[in-house]
Amino acid sequence: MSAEFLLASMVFLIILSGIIGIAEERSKSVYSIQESVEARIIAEKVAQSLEDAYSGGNGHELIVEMSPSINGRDYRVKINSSGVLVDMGSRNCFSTYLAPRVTGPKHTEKNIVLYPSKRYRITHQRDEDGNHFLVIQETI
Amino acid sequence: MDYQGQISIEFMMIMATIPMMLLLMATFTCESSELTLAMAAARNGATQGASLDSLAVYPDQAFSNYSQKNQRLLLPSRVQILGIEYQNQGYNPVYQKTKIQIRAYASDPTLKTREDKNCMGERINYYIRKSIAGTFQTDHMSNSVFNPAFSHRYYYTTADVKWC
Repeated sequence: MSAEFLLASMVFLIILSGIIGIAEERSKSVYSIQESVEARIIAEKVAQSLEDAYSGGNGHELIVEMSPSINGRDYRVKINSSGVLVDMGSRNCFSTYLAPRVTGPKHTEKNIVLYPSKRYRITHQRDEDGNHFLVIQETI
Repeated sequence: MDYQGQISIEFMMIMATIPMMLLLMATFTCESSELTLAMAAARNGATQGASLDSLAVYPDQAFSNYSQKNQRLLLPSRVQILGIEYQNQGYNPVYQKTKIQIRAYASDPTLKTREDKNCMGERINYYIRKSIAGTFQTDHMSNSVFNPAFSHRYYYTTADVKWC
């Protein structure tokens, strides 16, 4: 083998190792962005469902179906008076909704947790005082 | 007269010069390729940072901080990276490497306050440094925020993101 060939191979390998590093980082970056997009979609979907149920008026109901995972990761959706929080363990995503009160089947819950792969029914109801609220309960 | 096994003096000189030139070229190529790769990694990191800022998906600690002080940042925004440039700030004997300072230019018409822009800028810079450290596999040499990030001949810091 000639010296030129060895040197050219060395330069090629150095450049190639760098390109592999870049490709690996870009792949990680795409994975991370994909995960964030999925989390954002879930947060917006739940918030949008709450707003749809509220704007539909008393008695309106709809079903929201939760994704089995976020890019293969487990997650929880936590709803309280301030908004919808998608909790992926180490990362979080938040969205707001315009509805006066959201509660669970007992009508007293202030924090509701939605789990992956479950279906939830959101119902718009009104109490004796005429106050509107949304009830979220698991359904089949 | 036997001419077998003899080569000309010109051929010998050429054969001696070419490897030297190649060696020099290889050295220059390695240096410039390292910086080119670092800038490609920086662009990749900036894009990732801008995307994650735009989607408003944050790690626990950042989320908790923003919940208290920068609630606007919890909602999606439209961060765009306009450009990235670097400045060679010379050899640093402490690190025994050349210092490169990277500055990103970004825009987001939805962010109004200086504090919000600073927070977003810090996240973009974090992803720039992280991407460089990841590309050169020098994560172990840096601290938790990858400041500074290292490659073989250079170390990298980030200047405040300039918002346009």
